[in-house]
Amino acid sequence: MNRQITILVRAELKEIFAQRRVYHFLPLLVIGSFLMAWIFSVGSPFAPIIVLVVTGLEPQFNNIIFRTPNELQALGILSCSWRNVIVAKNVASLIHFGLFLILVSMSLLYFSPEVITGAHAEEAALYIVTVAFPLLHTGNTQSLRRPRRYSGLRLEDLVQAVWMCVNLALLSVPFYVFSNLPLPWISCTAYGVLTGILWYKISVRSSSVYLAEHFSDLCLTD
Amino acid sequence: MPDRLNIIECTAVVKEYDRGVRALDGMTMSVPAGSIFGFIGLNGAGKTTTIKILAGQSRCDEGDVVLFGKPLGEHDELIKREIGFVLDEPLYFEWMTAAEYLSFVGAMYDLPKNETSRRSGELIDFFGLNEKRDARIGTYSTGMKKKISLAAAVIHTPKLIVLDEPLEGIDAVAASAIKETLTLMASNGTTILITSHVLDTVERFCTDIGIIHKGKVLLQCKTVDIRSRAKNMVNDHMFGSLEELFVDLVSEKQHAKSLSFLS
Repeated sequence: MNRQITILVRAELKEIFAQRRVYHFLPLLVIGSFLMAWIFSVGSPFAPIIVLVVTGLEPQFNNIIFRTPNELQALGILSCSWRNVIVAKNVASLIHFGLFLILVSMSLLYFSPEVITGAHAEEAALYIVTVAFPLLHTGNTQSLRRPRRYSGLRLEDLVQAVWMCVNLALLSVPFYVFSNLPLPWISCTAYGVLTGILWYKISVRSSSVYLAEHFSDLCLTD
Repeated sequence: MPDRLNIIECTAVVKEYDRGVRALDGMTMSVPAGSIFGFIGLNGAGKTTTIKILAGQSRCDEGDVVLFGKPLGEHDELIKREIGFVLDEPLYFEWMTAAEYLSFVGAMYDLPKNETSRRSGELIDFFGLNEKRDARIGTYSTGMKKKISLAAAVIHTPKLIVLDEPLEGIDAVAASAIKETLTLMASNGTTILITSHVLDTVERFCTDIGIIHKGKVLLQCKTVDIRSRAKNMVNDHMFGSLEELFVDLVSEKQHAKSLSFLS
């Protein structure tokens, strides 16, 4: 990883804790404590936790160029490669996803009536492997086609959060197919690696090209 | 083929906003290498639009913009390495401290880590930001934000610095220090494009001047030549100062009318 990406990832990781957005997890934790009380017929006790984390981190995935209102222009006057910017933002989103998954799990698993086993954790890990890169790809597309200069608790943000959950449900289909096949950890891992390669080769490249070509238009975002 | 001695070449640039408002209407100007180019005009004359086009934040509808001999939009990343921008709305990451932001900017320009920390320390000291070096930029005053933007624009010792109203909101002591620094940089070969409303400052500080009005550059010349050039342009009248000339060129006699309640 080159120095520019390292510095960008470090800045991204720090940014979320400097914003009010991190407090969005508080109401989500309250909702989560109720959701955990059910035994879900589909998925493991980790299912509501993953949904809550994805909802809470929605701007990290779906609004990558405007985490703060002037961010795009601020990056635009510096000599940074858009490819590095996209990679760094996506890598930081994955790290946030893992971090918040651990934190939210620690807070909410207590409320689950089920006994949490290693099999549950393994299933959750395999599930995340299959959805992580597709989520980054759809997030990159959404960030560039429907950017929002401000993200907070407006109607638009709630709509985007619901869209994110629907999207997550659709992206879960491969996992449910693989989990019904023999040796799911091989098929899920192979699928994860394949989506990772496609993310880097196609999503990052096309997003950075789009960003370079439409930079001045994106600067006009309301 | 662009003149190699000009760092910026704008030819017949047109920029039209929604509702048919023409911010730039065939604007042509060139900024010579090593000059301190004062770009002056009334509010809405097209200065900020020009600078936004140079920064890539806006796209011209017609005309050519050439930076360092290359058309705008080509090799952007490499060209931006040679430029420092201070735009009308200072751009930074509010949640970073001054030291963090300058380190971030240094890294974006691939400055070595040790050199970045040395330069950022010096810049923080120079701009008098030591007391608030560990405070978030979002908590700074307007003047301090301007200073941090300026610090970020010069940390990588660019070949071109583009400054939109850099002295606005800055105290006199800091403004004087900034002007000295920019003059020093220009003497070392850095080209500086600066917009300002303070004509007196522009006249004393800039080596070249361009006057823009209603999206067109009306006059561009060396500051030392301004009186003789203007004499030829405006009815053979000799002007005592840049302010007199500027008002005559752009006012269109709008000040000739008097306010009835004051007469």
